[in-house]
Amino acid sequence: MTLLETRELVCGYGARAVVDAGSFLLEAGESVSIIGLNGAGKSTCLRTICGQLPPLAGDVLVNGRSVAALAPRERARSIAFLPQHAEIDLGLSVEELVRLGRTPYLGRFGHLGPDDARQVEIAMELCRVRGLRGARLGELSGGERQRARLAMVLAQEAPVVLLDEPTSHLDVVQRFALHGVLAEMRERRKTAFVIVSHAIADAERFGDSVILIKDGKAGHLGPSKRGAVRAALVAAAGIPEEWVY
Amino acid sequence: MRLRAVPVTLCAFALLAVAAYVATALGSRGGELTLELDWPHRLFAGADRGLAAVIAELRAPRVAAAALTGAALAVAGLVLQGVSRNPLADPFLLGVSGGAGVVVVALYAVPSVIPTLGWWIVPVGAFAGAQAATALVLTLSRGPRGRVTVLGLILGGVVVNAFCAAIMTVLLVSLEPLRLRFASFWLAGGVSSAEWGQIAIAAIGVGVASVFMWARGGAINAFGLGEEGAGLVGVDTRRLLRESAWAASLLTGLAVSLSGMVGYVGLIVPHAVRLLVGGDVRANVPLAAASGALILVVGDAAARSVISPAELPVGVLTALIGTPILFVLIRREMRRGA
Amino acid sequence: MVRGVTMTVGAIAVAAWAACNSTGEGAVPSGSPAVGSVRLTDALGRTVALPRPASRIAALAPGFVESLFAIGCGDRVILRDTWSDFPAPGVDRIPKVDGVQVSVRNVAGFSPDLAILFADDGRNADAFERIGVPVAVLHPDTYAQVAADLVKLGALCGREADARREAEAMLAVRDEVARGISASQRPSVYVEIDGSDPTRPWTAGPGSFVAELVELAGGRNAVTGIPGGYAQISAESIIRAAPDFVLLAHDGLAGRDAAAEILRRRGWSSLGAASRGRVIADIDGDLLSRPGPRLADGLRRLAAALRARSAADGGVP
Repeated sequence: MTLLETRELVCGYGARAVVDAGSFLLEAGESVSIIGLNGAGKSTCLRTICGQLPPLAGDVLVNGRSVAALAPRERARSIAFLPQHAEIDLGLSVEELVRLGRTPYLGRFGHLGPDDARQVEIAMELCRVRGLRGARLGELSGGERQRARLAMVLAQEAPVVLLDEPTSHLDVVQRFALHGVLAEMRERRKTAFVIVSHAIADAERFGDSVILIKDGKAGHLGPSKRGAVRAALVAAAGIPEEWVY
Repeated sequence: MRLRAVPVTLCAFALLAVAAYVATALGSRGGELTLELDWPHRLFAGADRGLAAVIAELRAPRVAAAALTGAALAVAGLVLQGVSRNPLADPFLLGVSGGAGVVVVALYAVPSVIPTLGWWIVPVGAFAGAQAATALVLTLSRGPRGRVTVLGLILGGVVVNAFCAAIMTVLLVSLEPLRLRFASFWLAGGVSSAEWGQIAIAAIGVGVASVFMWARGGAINAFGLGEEGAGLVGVDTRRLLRESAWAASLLTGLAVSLSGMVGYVGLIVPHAVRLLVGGDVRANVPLAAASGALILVVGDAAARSVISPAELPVGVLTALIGTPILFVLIRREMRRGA
Repeated sequence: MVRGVTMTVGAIAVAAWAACNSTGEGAVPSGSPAVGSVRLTDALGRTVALPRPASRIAALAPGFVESLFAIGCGDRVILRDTWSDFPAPGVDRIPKVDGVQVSVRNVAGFSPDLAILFADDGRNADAFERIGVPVAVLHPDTYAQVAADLVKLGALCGREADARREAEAMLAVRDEVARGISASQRPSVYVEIDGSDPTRPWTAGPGSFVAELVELAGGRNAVTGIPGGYAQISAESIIRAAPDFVLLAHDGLAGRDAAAEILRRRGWSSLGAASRGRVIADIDGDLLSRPGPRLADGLRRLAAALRARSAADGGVP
């Protein structure tokens, strides 16, 4: 079943087009990696897909419905976005942060129910931050904090999850742990992922297909095969292969 | 150690009831303080009808007005600090103090307006001025594409307050020294002029606005992710910011119309509440309301006692009482963090 | 014979001259340097020295303007402050300046040969001296002091004899009123300076003229313990103090039945003074609070009001 679909999507700001993303489909349990050089427009793409930015042309559909037409609550229940940088209040505890992921499910009087509490527990469990539930975000390491943020995204229960450079500040072990979580989400909930990453190896291993953004156009590189992405990036960047890793 | 919100809230309401009772028992005669702890008896069955009238028409409304003012300011401050994530956000930021102050000083500046029309013109004028100023702030703070942002609100509030302060200065300078003093004392904050009709209206307003913000509390919590982050988890930030600004303005306008400019309560009570029980805005609304009410009931009782028979502007006392408390709470927090 | 007449005339002249230069409460030292010069000490202890009585006076407080007019020096006043409005129409032709925030330069622009300030801490006085304008600071805060300062004003403008007469008249009124007071019965009086907010009215305490006049007129302040001149008090304080009289020192209830209005105020329904018609509302507030010769009028009328109403009920209960 097609979860996410873009139709002749053009992303940009105001009158300035940045990326012609074209059209692509994403099914449940699938994931696509977006790669490209800095400034190419990868984040702009993500922000347009999740509805933060209006498309300059074309449309984004989730479960057949246009994202632009959805109310914020609906949108948050369908698409979750983990930005690279966020001004999160570091005084929040892990549990408080994850609970914020249930905001799209607040009742009429702003309350959360037992089902919400359960989702929070599941999310924390999956991301292995349950033991840290009372800790303040400011006291955690980079990796722990990232897992907490991911738990929040998980708690949103959105079938489509967008991640912008999720492993950029993580060490090898932390990256491995994070990918474990993503894999479990894909396994258990059939979550569809769109991941922007500089980590080519991750893109090759995790993504089902890869999109390369270059010169304002998104080119579908097809299913990710070992080495194919590297080759494409070498061609795109024009630098020696040894330097692409 | 973080305490649990529900028991602390119940405690606060209990303390409020006790304080209100004692405050209503506190009176003065000529130059001395009196304490009539059996005031319910005197009110309903007592022989001294004059005293009964004093209790029913002067003292009780005053205590009620103090409680409402404190509650309103505390909730307004809580909401504003919640959406702006700025610990220095104060209900008077939204131009409310400027707008109300300008109107009241203008009323004092035109001689015989107040005695002729009656005192009611002052609270109504204060309220109207407050709302007008907020409308102006909302207009000024509109960013690109008409978006209302937190930063825009704060900047707009600063501009409107500064402008109103300038007008007020011009007006104050034109006042006869004695009238200047009257106006200044009103500006410094003093509970007591409200009568039951006004209190009933204010109670409804404060109640509705508080319940409304309590229901929005969960969404306001999302501002902990930043404005953009809140949008990502499904909060209509534009609408919520507008609603919060109007609710805070309504609450503060009602408070100012009841008691003039009483500072610090809206700034300190939300802080204290957060330090005690954490940052969940929704859970904190009732606790903030009770705490604010408690502080102001006690503060007003003190304001009419310390230099009896003369009255101290209660705004002076809120500063004196509130600041050391804030100091203590912050030190606790710093010690805990270290 | 001619020598005798000349000597007599000379003796009379010397005597007259000596009389004119006799010292009063203005510390004019005998043997002054020159005839017609003025020298006295003001409220700040500064010495004010003029070569001759001032003829272009900047009188920067209502009390001074009234006083100067009363002793016949009105034509010497070339500048007044914004609140000086008596005696109309005499003052109308005189330009006004702000008397609270005194602009020394502005005042100096009118070329006064004397500036009289009310209650200055010395800063403005210094500024005036620096630019060469003689200045006197007066700060009468009691009835007796007003009378004494009247004499100083008279010395400053050359009509000391008239001033002395006015001062003595003021003191005479005070003494006459005092004789009419029965020491055993001092009715309590609630003085209302402002009643715009009837739950927190402004009243007067020691340090204000009106409170002193109440004492001089045979009454006593219903509210004790007020710090300083004016204070805002709770309505309850007054109501429960059950004053014998209410004195309205403002015109907020002008043109209306003051007693009935007061009873209508929330919580004031039990005020005996109002229900018994003992509300004194017909004395112009200026007569009770301006430091000038009209205080005597205020005192007289206040004393009469207290006496009349007490007599009407056969004494104060």
